[in-house]
Amino acid sequence: MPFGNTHNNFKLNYSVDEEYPDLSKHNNHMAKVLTKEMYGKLRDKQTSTGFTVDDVIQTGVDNPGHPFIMTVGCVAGDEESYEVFKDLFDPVISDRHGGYKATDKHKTDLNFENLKGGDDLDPNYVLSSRVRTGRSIKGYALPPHNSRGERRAVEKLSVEALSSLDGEFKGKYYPLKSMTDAEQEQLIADHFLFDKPVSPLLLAAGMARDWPDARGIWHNENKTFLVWVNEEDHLRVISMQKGGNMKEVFKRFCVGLQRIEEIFKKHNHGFMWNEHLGFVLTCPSNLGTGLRGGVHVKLPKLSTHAKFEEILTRLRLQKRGTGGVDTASVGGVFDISNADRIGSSEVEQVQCVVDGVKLMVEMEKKLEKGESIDSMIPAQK
Amino acid sequence: MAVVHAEGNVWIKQWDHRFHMYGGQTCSPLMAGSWDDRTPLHDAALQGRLLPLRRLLSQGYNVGMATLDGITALHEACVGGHFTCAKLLLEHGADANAVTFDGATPLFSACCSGNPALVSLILTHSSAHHPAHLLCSPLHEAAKRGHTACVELLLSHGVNVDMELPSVGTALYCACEVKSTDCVLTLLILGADVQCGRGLDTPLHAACRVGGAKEAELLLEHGADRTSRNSEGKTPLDLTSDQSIKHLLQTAGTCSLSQLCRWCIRRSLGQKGLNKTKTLCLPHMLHNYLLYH
Repeated sequence: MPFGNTHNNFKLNYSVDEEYPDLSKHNNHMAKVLTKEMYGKLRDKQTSTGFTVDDVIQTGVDNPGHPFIMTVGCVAGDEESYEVFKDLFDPVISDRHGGYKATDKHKTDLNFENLKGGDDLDPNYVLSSRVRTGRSIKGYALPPHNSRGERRAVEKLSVEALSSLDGEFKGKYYPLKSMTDAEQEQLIADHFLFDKPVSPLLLAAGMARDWPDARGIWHNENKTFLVWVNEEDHLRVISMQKGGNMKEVFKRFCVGLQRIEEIFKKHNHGFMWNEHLGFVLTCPSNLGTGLRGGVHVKLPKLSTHAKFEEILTRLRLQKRGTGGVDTASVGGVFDISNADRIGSSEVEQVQCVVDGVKLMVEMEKKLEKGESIDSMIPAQK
Repeated sequence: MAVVHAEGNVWIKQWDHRFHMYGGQTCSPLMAGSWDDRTPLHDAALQGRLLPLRRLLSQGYNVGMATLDGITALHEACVGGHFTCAKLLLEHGADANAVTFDGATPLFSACCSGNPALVSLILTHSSAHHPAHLLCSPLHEAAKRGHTACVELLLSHGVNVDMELPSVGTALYCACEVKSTDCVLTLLILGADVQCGRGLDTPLHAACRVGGAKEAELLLEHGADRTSRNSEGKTPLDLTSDQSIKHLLQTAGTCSLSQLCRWCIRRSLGQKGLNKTKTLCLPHMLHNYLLYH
């Protein structure tokens, strides 16, 4: 993947000491886990597609990390990576996912009917709702490692699958390399377009090779269901709509994914999944459900409350900026989503968002009336 | 020369295109992970790599490019403690008052890294030294991390030494919680109210709770009231299991009139008054008496 003899067996002509990377200034999970002994043990291994431990860690070696933000510092090059380099991945996964053990079993539940409530989030506060995830297609290497041929095969298969959808899922594919200016402008206006990565973390992981070959965007006619092809994962899928009806969003998400997977399975290329890791994706931080269910919600008063961060933590939620979507001129709007990815199911994670956002909106309303919210602050989950 | 010029134009067009595409953000917010939005500019600034920073800026890279959470390259240069990079960014128009989604300013980030020269630089370029967001106070961050020189700089630029953040307390309280002796001493000498902590919890309560004997001693020397009761009705003595602190609290005798007068005068003067006192033509003895020299 990155070029050089560190990434093939030539490095075995040098000792472990000579090849072990300098991780002295690093702050990522990989650097904290990868001892010289572990490196020595793993460095002559590779997956059946040729991914080595140096391929796994290059992104974390080249990007020391942030003093206050932990990155995982490693990627998988194919489904097999998580098994062949288990000694490295297991402690990284444990550190990143709150102690998830190598013997733990992941839960998968994509039955939207199991979601309780979620169709009644106050639209005066919840501006929009979305559920997104990634999927990896069996039989092909992942974006850091796949060949041009594999990448094109993923695109071809994806377009075939998506083109055969009907009903509310009927839509169109836009390959990045042959997009008209008008199409580009429209996708920008819709906030759908993605571009060649400039993040050094992604570049060092090999995500931008051959750009824009075999990359593209598909969305349905209503613009409520979107798929990115060959970005950081083979597929990135999102269901979304204005307002607070997360139930409807999640239903579309589950139905859409199910339909797509059925078509892939007919071609003997289902999604990568196992009972320990759940859905297998490129970045260890997304293992399990890979799901981020979120809303854009107005919380101008709650967000300046001293306990806001603590409330989010206790509700197992995280907040991010909205990047201008829904909020060009509105202050106090947050993208609130689930913090967990593995060990709990899709339904459970979206339920967490639904219940948490509902509570926070109630808190916001109380603060607007000048009342205290101390009695509403939840216990740690 | 023409080739170089043309090349520059191509670069400018490329970066501007990205800026336009994402409405001033670094990437699509739709499905971006938590690190997709770091750009080469952020990366160079965070790690103090001056050459690529200079090159990117000369190629027309927008200095104000922010992550989804509003983090600019200047924030990252400050987090990394890189004076030269921060200076370069400011010269190219970086906003020293930029506030991240979490309410952090470059000044706050500089106080995290604790580089006094950098803090000084940001102070001269930013108009607001108080936190834009109550929970991200540069003074408290410097105190928490024991960056005494930064605390001095902030106070010399007029930051309110007794600012109390909800749930956090005053800077003095924070310094006591982490047993940052130098910081405690500096804050006290520069005018911090020895009784202002977090609600009814005084700095002495905090020091006793964490077993900070040196801090407790300093606080008492500066007039801390060992009989204060917090919201739970506890005195500092009730909160400590440290024998030396217990001894200190129990044996602290009556103060001399000289000491009481000094405390009274200092409290009357407050932070600003003490600051101005330095410029008065006082006899050395009186000067040293009031300012603990």
